[in-house]
Amino acid sequence: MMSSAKSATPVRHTHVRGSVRSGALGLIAISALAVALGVPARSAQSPKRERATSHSTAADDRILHVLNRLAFGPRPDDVAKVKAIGLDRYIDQQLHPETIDDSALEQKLKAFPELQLSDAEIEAKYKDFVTADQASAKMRRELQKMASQKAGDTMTQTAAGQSTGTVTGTATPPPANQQTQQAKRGALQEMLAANPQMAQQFEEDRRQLAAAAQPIGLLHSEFTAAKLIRATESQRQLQEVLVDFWSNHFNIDIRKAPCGVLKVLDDRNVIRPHVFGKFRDLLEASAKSPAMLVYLDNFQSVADNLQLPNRNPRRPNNRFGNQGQFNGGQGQGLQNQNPAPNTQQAPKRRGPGLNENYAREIMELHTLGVNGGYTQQDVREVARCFTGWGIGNRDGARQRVNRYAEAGEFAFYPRLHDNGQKVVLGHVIPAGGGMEDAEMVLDILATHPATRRHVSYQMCQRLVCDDPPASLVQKCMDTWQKTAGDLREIVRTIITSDEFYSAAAMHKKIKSPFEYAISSVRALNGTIEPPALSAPAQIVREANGLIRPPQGGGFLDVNTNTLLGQIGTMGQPLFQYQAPTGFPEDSRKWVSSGALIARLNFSLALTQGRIRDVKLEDLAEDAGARMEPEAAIDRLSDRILHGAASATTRATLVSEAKNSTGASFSPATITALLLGSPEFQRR
Amino acid sequence: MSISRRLFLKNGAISLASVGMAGFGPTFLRSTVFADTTAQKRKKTLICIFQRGAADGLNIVVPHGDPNLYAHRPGFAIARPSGSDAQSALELDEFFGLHPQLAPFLPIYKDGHLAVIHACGSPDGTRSHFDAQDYMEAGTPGSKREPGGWLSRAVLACPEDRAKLSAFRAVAMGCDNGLPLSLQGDAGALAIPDLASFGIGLKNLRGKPGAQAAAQAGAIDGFESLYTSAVGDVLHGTGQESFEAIAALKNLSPNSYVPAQGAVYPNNRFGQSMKQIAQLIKADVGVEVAFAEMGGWDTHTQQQGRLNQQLREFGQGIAALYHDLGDRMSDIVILTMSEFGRTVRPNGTNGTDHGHATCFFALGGPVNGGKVLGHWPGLAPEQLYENRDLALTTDFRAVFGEVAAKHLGAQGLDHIFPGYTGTSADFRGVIRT
Repeated sequence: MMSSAKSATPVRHTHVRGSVRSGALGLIAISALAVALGVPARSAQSPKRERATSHSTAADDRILHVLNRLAFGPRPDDVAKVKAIGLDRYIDQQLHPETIDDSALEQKLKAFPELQLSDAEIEAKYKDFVTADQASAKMRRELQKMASQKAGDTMTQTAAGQSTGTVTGTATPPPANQQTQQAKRGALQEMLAANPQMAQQFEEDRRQLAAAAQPIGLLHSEFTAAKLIRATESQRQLQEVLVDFWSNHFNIDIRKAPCGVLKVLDDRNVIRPHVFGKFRDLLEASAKSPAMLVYLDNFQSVADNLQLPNRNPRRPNNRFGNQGQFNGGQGQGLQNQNPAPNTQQAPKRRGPGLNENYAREIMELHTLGVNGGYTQQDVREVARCFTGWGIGNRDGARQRVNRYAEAGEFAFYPRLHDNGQKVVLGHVIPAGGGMEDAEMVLDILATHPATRRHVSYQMCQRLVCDDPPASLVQKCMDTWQKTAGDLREIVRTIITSDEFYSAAAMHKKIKSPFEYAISSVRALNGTIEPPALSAPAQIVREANGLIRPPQGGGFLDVNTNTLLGQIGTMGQPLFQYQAPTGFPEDSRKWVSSGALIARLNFSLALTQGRIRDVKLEDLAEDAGARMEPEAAIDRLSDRILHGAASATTRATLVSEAKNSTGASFSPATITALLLGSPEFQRR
Repeated sequence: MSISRRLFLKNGAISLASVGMAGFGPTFLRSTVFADTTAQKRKKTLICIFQRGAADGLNIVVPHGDPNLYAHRPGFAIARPSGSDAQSALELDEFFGLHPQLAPFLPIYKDGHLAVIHACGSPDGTRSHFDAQDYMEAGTPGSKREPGGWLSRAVLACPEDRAKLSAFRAVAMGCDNGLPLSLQGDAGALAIPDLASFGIGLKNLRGKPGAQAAAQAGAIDGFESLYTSAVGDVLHGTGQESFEAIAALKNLSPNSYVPAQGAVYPNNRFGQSMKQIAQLIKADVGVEVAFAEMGGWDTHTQQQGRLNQQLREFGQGIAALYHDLGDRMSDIVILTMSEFGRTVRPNGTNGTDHGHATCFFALGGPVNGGKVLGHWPGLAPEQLYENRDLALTTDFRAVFGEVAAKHLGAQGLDHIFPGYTGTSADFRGVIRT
């Protein structure tokens, strides 16, 4: 059995080739080289250009393919840049992100104050948030109760008056719901006016809650903005692609409180440090991630038939819904706490016990795959092994299982652990192993052939094609075995394989909405300038609105004036996939009429400057020397599609531009058409 | 079939249908001969309405014949049917009555086109709105492993090419959170927040003069040409559907829509959803499943007034949809659902807390109406679920499954509801055979 100590060793990038390059120097060198080579990018002096399709070579196509897979699509001058340093060298750099200067990005992200906080500081703020959230929910309930009580009385009187014909005049009464709202508002004001002390108390509470609740909104908006900025602007593109992949593989829905906070730590401590490390380390980091422990309920899972003194089995009265089966799924929700006027005894609650949720998903999704050969009995046994893997606060105090205000970092609780013997996938795990039980499970799973196959397959799906050939999956499995699951080497195997460059792979993946949005911004050489950087107060308000799901449902940012909202509207609300499967890796799932209409709307919104956190170059930069539609189409097509435009697409655009009854198409319109074209939906 | 051919057929259906609607009242039972003469057999349509927040089935369809009801809910239950009391239940049969605010449902019930399925819901015991709604929409009580929703899988499980025919085959109308889980999945679905603003580009530029509007119109034409010409690409078909959808809606003017038969929709979001679903169906754009939702059922406090208002809007909205669709209701089923019911006993604030089973409604020509379906579990203390809630005797999947199978013609219940072991033997007879 592997030592658990190794997981504490940080992944170290030692003596990698190219590390002598100082980042800044390297960047300057590349830029200088690009200039020297006459990279077309922004030189307005090159109106005369061949049709993209005619001067595109097989070598260029390979570069484009690499930029579509190892990066979120090319920026206008990226193909030339890669050509200048050589494709192999580019790939090698991307596999060793620490050799790439990314100081501009790092500098930019410093503008996000919440992201500069330490884990402990974030937790401290989060704790306040949970308290505030619970208090504010209670306050809202009380207010609502009083208001609707009063309003109900008023409404009843009004209704009675109407029915007996005492209401005079012929004016149409406002709709009933509006009437109620008015009545409620009136009742509330009346109530507060009659009782200044209560009014003052409410105002004070409201102010305190607002102050305490702020960080979650700000943190959320900064975290998602940072993801967009990194994907768009980081030079370490492969790293960002892989962070996106692994974050989706170990999916966490931030709507399950308090994952909105804990996912920030998960991204920082679990995903990012391990994408070029060993799978076993990533798996263990995820198993110990407070976000995962909450999301898949393991923090609630304790040995069956456990006798615990003084345990209050009541689940938190939290409207986010605590999905575990800790005490039989009872007793939570927005119930009123007043005792019901009946003499019946409260229903019996089951004691705490096993929760299989994480045990099942770690095998089905994270490692073996659904056909990986495990049984329901294995699920139970794995769940037993993971009992006691929970979360604690930083003072090391005993876990209060149903209080996530205490959620801090991973903690093992020996008293909650099932210490009997287990058998997992045929391996006997002797009694008395304590925390090592689950570590053994991680070893068994990480080295299982089904895991190699399942995870390799998914990596190939992301990087190569929807139906990866068995030959490629086998190569990955071989590398996996040789390198003990070194993810960097597995990725290298994939992107240097023949299969990677095959016709079945190139231009065959449909972009996810996230990939589509980011690649669009990159194609237009744009940057993300979120309002959070300039108007924090506003974004806090908006984010707070978002982070609190409306009662009984989820939430979605569908504000089409922001990139995040556009991505959500197109069907991929970031960090908000409810099922633990994550968004599909099979890109065919993104094809639908509604989704396509949303994409076309996105391309129009983007090129018309309606997405307020995206800053683009002037799309009409060449307008000084007005180009003929045909020339403009070729020039823009070259910049955006890099020779990938089909002859049909070009002919269609040219004929549309010529046939247009009004003026010929503006560069913005041509750009919108190119971004909305079938070609640009693919990578 | 080319776009124009398909559109022609659809447009043909429009004119024939409008002739058929000249009469008053739901005449579809009398118009079967006429229906047979239409060039294209009309497709079956299902309209699902989710009551979010857990509706109190016991005060909606009142089991006034159960002696325990009034013992549990003294002064809180709806009174036994009494002609002289406007607040009493409307008699459905000797055992059940309707909440008085659902008076618009009564004639439909009496005509045999409305059925109630009582003591129905999810076998999963969760009392979390979030989980219970997800479970019901996913069609997998207690499990979140299946991605996507039952309705999407049901559409795909329908025979022939109906799943490919129209961009409007699955539509979520006016839903708060984009596409509801029910419709997420491989079938694809349109989420239309408001029919009046659906399409490509800025609405206020559509069909307007001026350079900006011309540029937008040009871009939209350009998009269409790009996708029309991209033959052989999987996106070609999708693009075609999308533009067909937009073209089909081009002449739709939601703001000047006049409902048929004097139907009056409530003037709120739910009413608008109902109205726009009717308009979309009448446009013959190929709607097979439509989904709408109505919130506000979480009546923990002062339930009487709130439920009155909720049911007034609910009843008026659905009845308006039913009457507006007229003859078309011969091929349409409207099905309502809610994530769970509420406690049998009221709480200390004249409301009810989260419970278990509740009641669903099914309306339409294909519905085996005029009945309260299912088995009544009783309200004696020992008959309650966990000693507090109406027990469940009908798994919601038996109802959804029956409608999907017998009305839409979907095949493979076990695929629509993974892990479900029920069969057609569990159906409650919601759909006529």
